[in-house]
Amino acid sequence: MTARATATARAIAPDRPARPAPSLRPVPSARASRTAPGTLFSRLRARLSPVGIAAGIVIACLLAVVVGNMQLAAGQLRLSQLQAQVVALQSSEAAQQVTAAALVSPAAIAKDVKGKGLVQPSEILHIPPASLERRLPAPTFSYAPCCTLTPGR
Amino acid sequence: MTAPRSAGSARRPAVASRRPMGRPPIGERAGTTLRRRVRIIRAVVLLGVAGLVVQLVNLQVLRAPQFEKLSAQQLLSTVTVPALRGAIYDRNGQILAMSVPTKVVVADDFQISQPTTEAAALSPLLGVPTESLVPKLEKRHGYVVLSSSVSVARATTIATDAFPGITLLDSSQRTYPDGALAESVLGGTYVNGAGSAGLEYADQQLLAGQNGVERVFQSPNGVSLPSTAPVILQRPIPGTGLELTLDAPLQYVTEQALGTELVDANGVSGTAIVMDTRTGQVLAMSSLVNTKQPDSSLPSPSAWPTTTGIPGVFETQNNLGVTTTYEPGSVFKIVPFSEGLDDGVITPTTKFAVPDAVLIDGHVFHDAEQHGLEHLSATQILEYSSNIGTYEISHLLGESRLLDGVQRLGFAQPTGVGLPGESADLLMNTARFSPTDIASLPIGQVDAVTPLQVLDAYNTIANDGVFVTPSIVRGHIGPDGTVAKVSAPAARRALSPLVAQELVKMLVRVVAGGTGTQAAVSGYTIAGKTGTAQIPYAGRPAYIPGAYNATFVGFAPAEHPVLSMIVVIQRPTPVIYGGSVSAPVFARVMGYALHRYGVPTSGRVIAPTLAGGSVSFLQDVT
Repeated sequence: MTARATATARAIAPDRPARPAPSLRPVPSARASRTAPGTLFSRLRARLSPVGIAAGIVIACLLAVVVGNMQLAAGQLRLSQLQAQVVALQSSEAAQQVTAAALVSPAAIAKDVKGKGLVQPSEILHIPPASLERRLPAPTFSYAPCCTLTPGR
Repeated sequence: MTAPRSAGSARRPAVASRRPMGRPPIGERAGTTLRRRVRIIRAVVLLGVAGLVVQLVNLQVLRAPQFEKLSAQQLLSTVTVPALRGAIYDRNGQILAMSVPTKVVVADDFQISQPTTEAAALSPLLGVPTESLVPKLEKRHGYVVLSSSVSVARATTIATDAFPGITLLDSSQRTYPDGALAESVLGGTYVNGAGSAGLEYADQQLLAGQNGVERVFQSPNGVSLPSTAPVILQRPIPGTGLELTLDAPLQYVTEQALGTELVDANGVSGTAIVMDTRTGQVLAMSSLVNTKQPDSSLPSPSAWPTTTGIPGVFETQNNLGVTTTYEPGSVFKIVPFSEGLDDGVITPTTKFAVPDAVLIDGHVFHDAEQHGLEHLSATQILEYSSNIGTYEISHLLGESRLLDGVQRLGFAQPTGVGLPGESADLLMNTARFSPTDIASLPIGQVDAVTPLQVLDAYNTIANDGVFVTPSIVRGHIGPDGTVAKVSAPAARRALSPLVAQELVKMLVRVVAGGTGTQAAVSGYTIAGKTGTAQIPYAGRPAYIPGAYNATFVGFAPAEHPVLSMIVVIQRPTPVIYGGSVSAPVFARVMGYALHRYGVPTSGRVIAPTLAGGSVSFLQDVT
């Protein structure tokens, strides 16, 4: 209340009993006496209005949403990177399969064989099957001409 | 300036005494006005804030979906992710066709501020010279395809480097590791990946799979906006693979033997098919063209994509074995013989007096060679492929029984092999049957059939009289690698086992000492039949002079057939006979196949007959 307002009030109500003189001993404030033994939280709660608390909660939630979104985006990015790696590996595997198939293709083998100087037989002679029941004729032996012994040995 | 408190106190009551009763003092009035104004302003501000809050709730909560939709319409695009096409394998798991995932590199050149620098950086990654990239990046078009098939590894590098204005789209490249091998069966694909011919076309639904759907943020030009991950709405389902009945090494040998003979015989085109007798599975199927021979119906050699390794010979995507009908000639003689044996009209030893020519309804029919009146058995008529003898048997049978025989051996209907473009044959029926047809039909002149149908008929004889539907696809390979076997094709008894066995014996004689001696394979007993048929003009009832189709069809080993095969060479010159042109191809391929599959020998060696020489038939060497 301003000084002028106090004076006006006094003028309007002059017969009001005078206030007792304030004591010189400092009276501890009621508010201070409540908060003195309290924690920081209780001091903050005492200073903040409910609206402030609500606003703080809202801001905190918004921040949480932003952080969550960032985490989600980072996860998605990592997922897409992993997926790209999988696709790359699959592609590499397919390309290697194709390369291997080309190497073992009949045309490649035939080319390789020709390069090594091998020729295709003009005719394949199929040996007729022989019965296991039938005894084979005894082989005939003859002494093959052998080397001449070196004199002295 | 502050007045002394006492003076102020003295003046105020005076003022108060002058004012009328009930009227507030000026200061109070000013304070009231101020407070009122403050209240009004506060109310206005509160209203404004409330309005903003209401609008905020309206935009962010109530109408959020609508605005989200509008935003999505502007930036979000739903793109199709192509499914990887199924691979095609041969019966041993050898890859015949496979799709490799690749990327399409697209540039939004409006986003590229330094085309030269970016082109230089992209050039080694794309494998495209910088000089050709720079004009593309300066087009100011908004959507420029820089490369249609970049490997995923390189694409990953491009993505990592984050070139401005460059985006990568999923794609794939169809690869045929064996080159032109079995191209007539496999077919090909269009640029968009869809099948254009062969099995690629016939089994498009299976091979293609199901495309996926992704939602991506894109610029109006279709280029992905940076730092946005696509949202997968539906994952692509890879296509189903095909396991074919083809055997790649046998296919290669067949193509090489056919191609070599095609060049040696100066033929225009040729087809060869090898079939598993019991199951009807096609083991090799080749259609070749010889571009060195003049044929206006063939495109220029530059149009043929890949060579077979034989100069001038190319595998055609037009599968001649099923798409082309031709007058089969003497190989069709099996019809009156099978019907005659089945009806008991003839036996293998029934004798006929056979002149070298007869006159029927004013038309002269004659044998290939002039000869006097000969008394030939039914077996000999088939062995020497006598037209007149065959006519005499057909005459005994009559029109209806002859046509029944045609149906019985699987002609007059598609084989059901599952290859696209299969021709329905052009066969004589009772309504159109003329008096000369009783002589023309059994020698394969007024009817047109496909080589596969002819092979099917002979395979029926080899298979103890049971007709089996030919097949080319053995199994379906799911995306997880599981193989689902295709159900066995339909089979029906067409001939009695006795008739089939008698026909086998007669056909053995053809190779042993008749017209098909060059089809002999050392160590095995071969049964078969030759055919040399004139080629008619298109749309004219006359034959082209000097134009023939040379055919040999047979199976081996005759005692327990496991493989059957047909070889058709179109327009060989100067040697025209099936026994001289096509039979050697049969011998070469069949000799390899019997050896490859470990088929036991017959225990005998059949020495091929030289021209005019004697025959050593079933000479036991053990």
